[in-house]
Amino acid sequence: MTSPPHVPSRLTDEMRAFTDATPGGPPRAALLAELERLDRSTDRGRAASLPLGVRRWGGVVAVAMSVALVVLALGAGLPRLLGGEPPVADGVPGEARLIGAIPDSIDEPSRWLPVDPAPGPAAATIIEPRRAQFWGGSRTGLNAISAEDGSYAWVDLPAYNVRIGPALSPTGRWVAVWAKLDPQFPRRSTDVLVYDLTDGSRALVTPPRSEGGITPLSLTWIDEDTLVTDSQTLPRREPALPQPRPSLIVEAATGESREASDGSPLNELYNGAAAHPAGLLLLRARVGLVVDDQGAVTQRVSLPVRGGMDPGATALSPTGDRLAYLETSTTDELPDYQVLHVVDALTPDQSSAGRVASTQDRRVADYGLRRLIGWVDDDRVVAEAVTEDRSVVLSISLSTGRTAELSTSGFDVYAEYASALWQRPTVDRGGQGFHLNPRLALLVAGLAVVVAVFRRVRHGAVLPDRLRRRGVA
Amino acid sequence: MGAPTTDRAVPSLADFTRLHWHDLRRFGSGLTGSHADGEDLVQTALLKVAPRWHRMDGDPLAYVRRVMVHENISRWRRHRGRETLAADPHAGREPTQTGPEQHAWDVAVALRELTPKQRTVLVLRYLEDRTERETADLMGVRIGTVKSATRDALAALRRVAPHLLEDRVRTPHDG
Repeated sequence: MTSPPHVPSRLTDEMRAFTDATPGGPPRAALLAELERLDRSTDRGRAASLPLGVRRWGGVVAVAMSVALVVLALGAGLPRLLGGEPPVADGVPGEARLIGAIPDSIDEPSRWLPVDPAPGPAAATIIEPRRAQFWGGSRTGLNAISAEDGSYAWVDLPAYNVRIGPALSPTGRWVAVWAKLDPQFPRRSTDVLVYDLTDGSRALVTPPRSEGGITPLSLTWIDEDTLVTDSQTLPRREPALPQPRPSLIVEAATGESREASDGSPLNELYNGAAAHPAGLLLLRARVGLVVDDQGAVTQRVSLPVRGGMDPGATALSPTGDRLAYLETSTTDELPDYQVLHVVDALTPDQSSAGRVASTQDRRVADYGLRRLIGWVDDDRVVAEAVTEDRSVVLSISLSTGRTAELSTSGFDVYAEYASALWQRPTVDRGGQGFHLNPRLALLVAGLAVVVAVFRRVRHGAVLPDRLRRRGVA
Repeated sequence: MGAPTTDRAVPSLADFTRLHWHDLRRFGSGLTGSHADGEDLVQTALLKVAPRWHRMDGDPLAYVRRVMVHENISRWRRHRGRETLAADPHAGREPTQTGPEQHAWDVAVALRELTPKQRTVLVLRYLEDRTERETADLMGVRIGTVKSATRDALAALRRVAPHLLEDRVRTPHDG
């Protein structure tokens, strides 16, 4: 037998006495007024809304219609329509014309640039190998910075794996890439694509196939209409010894190409090309080849390079008689310093070599020279240098060694410039890198409409009056 | 001639408030240990149930009381550690008086030493004479929680006001 729980009777009595002592009186008038107001507003809400079942079905119908609209929009190719497919045109008419200038600074391009298949001559281009798309997938293309007004635009390229490039022609009209082409394109091999930024047309150059495949090495514009490419192959018998392939000379306007070679094995890295009064000068790491109009090598010269050289470390002067090259010194005097030399183009012996500047010099010491870009005139060389947080394009005077900053960009922005425009002053065109993505704006607007419709249906303002009357009890 | 008829099964909230105002205030005083806080609690609970008043099923009074119980505990949890009394209204008052006023003062001080959950258990178990299961259902907790809260509440009272736990010698006039 269990005893009943002990109840402290005094506690119960005292608590009852305490609560009984609660002051009396009616509730406050303000409280009653507020409760009556809430009561009335709730009544109005109930009267204005549909019955729960109707509201549920209305919501289901609204959501189903919204989903159907999105599916239909996707199926109808709305993203492609909004994105804009570049037109395909054959042939590239017109003559080169120098337009615009290079901006003082180049910003990181926005991810939401408008698609423009023909933005006009570009002062600079920035390749974006694989850009994720808002609707999924990715595309390859480049950001073109207009030479005329400095605006940014996105150019789709029919390629999904750019191997070399882009190489921008001197006036910024053409851009060329070595690329594996998009599966939608007829061929999937590695080819040279020449894209005309003025009208969106493109030419495809397919080098002769070889047993060991083609490994592209470089793209160089030697004048406004002529492009020189170089590549190598890996023979199956000796895959460890890549064999240089004949250089390919491409006419941008027509897409025609021809090979140039002296037929001798050259296990050297390709290093650029330039038009020379004596013929086309093809530069390898330490060797220059003069080629005639038929592609035959008429002269072979050697550069007096003692240290190391990287690809893209040479540039021929506008008159073609002098050659600038960037050497990585390995001497005890200047260990690991970048040294800029200028030599006679066709007689580049040691006696003609002149040291212009080095990263040890006071005027260049703040920079690390990355590559040579070209020449401003016969006295000034254009080189790209890097600092701790930015990339700088410098002009370096051959006569005085003085440097001047021409243009700057972010450290990770690898821009290719229209080399002829360096002959003009750069201009201030900052702050044009941001653009609103029209597809994102459209999606946000669509979601807002769906939410608005859903809310209106829930409150019974969209369905016909007949249904609304049924909802009022 | 009577009040205008409606299709609702419950009266309007204002009418309900007029009808049960004093009972709810008494309940609030017990839950909070303060007449003023009890009134605040009643008002808060009424404003909270207002949007759902017309969808209510069952006894409205029980529903409002349940909301008061939960609101009282929730409010204590929200403001715990963030609100401190700048001045205790009971400080300095010596229990020199005798009679009902002194008793009310004693139990108010004692109740305020407890947590809201402990006060709620005492009110429901000893003032309203509910069973442990009813108390647990009303508070939305398990019976074990009710038992432990009761034990803790009595232990706290034993420290601050041991005389409240003495059994009163009942006289024939006591109910």
